[in-house]
Amino acid sequence: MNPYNRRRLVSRIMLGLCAASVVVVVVPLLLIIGYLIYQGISSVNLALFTQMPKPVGESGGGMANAIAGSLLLLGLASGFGMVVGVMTGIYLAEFGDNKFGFIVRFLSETLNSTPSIIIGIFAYTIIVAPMRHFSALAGGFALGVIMVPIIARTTEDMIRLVPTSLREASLALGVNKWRTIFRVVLRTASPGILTGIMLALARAAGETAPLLFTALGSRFWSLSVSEPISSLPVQIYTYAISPYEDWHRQAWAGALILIGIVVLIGLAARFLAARSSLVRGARRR
Amino acid sequence: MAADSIVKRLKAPGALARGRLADRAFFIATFIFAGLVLLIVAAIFIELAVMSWPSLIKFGPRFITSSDWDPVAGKFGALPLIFGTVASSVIALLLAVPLGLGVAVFLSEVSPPWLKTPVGFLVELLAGIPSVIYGLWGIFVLAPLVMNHLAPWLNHYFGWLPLFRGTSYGVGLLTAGLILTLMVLPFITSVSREILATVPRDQREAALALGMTRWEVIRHAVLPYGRVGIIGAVILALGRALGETMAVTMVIGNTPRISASLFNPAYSMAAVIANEFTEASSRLYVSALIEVGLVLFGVTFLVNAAARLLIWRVGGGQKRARV
Amino acid sequence: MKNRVEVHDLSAWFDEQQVLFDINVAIEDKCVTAIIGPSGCGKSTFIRCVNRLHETVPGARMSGRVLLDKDDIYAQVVDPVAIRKRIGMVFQRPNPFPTMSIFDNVAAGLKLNGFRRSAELQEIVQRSLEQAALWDQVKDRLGEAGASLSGGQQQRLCIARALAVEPEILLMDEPCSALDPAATQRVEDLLVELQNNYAIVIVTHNMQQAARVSKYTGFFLNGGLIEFDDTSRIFTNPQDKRTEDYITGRFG
Repeated sequence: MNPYNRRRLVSRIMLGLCAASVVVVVVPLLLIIGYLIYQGISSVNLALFTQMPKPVGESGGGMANAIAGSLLLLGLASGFGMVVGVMTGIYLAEFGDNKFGFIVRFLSETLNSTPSIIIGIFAYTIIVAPMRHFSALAGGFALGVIMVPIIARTTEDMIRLVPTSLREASLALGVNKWRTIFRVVLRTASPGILTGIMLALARAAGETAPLLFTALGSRFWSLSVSEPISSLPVQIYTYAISPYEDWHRQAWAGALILIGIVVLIGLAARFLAARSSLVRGARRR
Repeated sequence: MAADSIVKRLKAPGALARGRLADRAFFIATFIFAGLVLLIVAAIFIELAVMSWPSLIKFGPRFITSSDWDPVAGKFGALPLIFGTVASSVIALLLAVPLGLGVAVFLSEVSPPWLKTPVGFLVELLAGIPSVIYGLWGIFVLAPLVMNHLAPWLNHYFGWLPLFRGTSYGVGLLTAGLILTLMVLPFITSVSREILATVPRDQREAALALGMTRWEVIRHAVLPYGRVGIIGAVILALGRALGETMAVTMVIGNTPRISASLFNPAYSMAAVIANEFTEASSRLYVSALIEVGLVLFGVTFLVNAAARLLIWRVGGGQKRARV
Repeated sequence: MKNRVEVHDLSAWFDEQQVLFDINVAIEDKCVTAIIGPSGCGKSTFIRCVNRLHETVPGARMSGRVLLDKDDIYAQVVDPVAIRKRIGMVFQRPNPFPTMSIFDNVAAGLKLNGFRRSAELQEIVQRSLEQAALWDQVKDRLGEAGASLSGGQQQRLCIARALAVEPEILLMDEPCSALDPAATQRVEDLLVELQNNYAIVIVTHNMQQAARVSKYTGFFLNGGLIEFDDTSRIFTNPQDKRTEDYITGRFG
């Protein structure tokens, strides 16, 4: 075989391997989604949304308390995550071109990739341990800490994408810096920042590990921030590792609901991003 | 004229002084919140260190060298947990890095345009699936598959390797490694894809003009250009695999034992915390679990810091690759 | 005639690079002063020093004195925000706020500073739009987005926005460079109107424009003010060889 033909053959083989890896990757991934939808749809029913869990070992019942609990936890988390994340993002974009800004940016990124169970321990040590009992507050705080770096990063990026000309137009009118930032810069960047908040929410919605020993879980209806509270992911986990057939069914149904929530939030984020002239402009660039 | 009055008020000295004060307050407020992020990370370290103090002084370095994890007897050696964490992550990276890179290269260099969007979308979708759902799938689909098909097959053909001795009961290191593979794959793929997309056209064209085949262009022009970024992505993926909790907890078998066979159940650092934290009855037990958390945090922190600095360095200081 | 702005020994830098060298000039009230010169000669930086916008760019600094009615605007006690309320600016590219309506764009200088009384705002918006010769074209669609206007209209919208806070000086940084000839014509007509009430400084790379609208012209080259004189003198009988070379098109 002459060298050129050999090289062509090698090229074909390697590109073929790349294509093969797509098959190897896509097939199990489709299997996961397919199986989840198949199991979920055959298990999901109205009771899941409206009823409380039945006592251990009895079939039937639902996850109404877990769905409500997840929503409450996400509400608490967004409260913390949005305020800290957006303000940090503003600092990084407006005043952060110095050593302190670099350190905050770096630690924020590191926080983003810190195992979520560690955040759970942290919330346990500073909220659960002093209060002496598990609470929705601790769970919401843990999820909030997880949201902060994602929101901070998108906020910074989006603010930096706002054209200098708009900022200068406002400054040249004699508008203060903080009003310029809040009412011109942030307003222009808001679709992008909202996208970041949604992405952070989607991530927090699926987190289980940080809730295990903060919000703990509960078989009862509760909307109190100082009591343990049930959540969808923890409920799925508890049911999945239980020995009961009917709980397994409910775990699949819960998983379908959870993935539905996560995908919906994700799609909404994409939709917002697509509408944002800033993000579009950034892609084009 | 009424209209003049508001312009006058706008320019009144009082309004200006208030404005100056507000600007100052605004700066301080954002500074405080940015400082809070720094404080959180510092507080995590401090809290973990303080809470694990009883265990730290009792066991010292033996904590990570002893392989005896026996809460009932009050013995806490984390080596089997470290082993499980590292082994499952290594399996995941060995499988996911070539596969993920292959997919990224295919999508950015080879794929017909109509295939890019659906595959790209699928990969992104999978990156968003919560860990507990991977775990659920792992228990009910992957574990039986490993027990009934994959493990017997591996044992039949590669049983001469210690890695594939014995029988699998479904849950174990191999299953944990496989589920981790699936979980880091979308991450490696999407990050590598973004990095490959930054390779300038002229790099490719210059290589093509030299008479290279398509693979040679990828091998000699595209991949070297993105090399540092890809290494950064792989390290980040390692950080994720090390810290992954729920899915691993659900399929690794939760047995603190070090064994050569991948079929055997094992335990990981994150899993032991997830499983035992609420049941830990003694102060020493809780403290030992938190020390496991401290070790995990320390390791992932170093891994992530290395990856981040690497990526920032290629990205040119402040201009960060969106990883 | 009275001088509104006096500039003494003004130098400016971006990081280590000096872009203006010892500029001395006076701006007269109720007329148009044009600043001409090739790109990168420092003309934009010059007017951005006059409303203290230069210092908002990271790494930028300046030295020298700028007097507004004999008061140094760079004095320690002076708030740049106050200066910018007195000295309005129109930019090279029309930059209406994309998230605001036409009305809100004009009212921005007041609304962003917290004034919401609608009756007075209405009056000011109408007056400013009339001054900018835009009222008739937009009075029926004040609620539409500012970005929905044509380029020339957007620029007049930005002029109205600057006028709404009743500045005393109006700085214009190549306001017509992004406009077509017809729109340019309208803005130039507008300048002739406005000079009855304001001191106007216009930066332009278009010498015909300077000749058409201004009373005085300054020629900048490489960060220095080469020549400053009556516009008619600059274009018919320049004193400096370099000015002559530039206006006769031998370079730049």
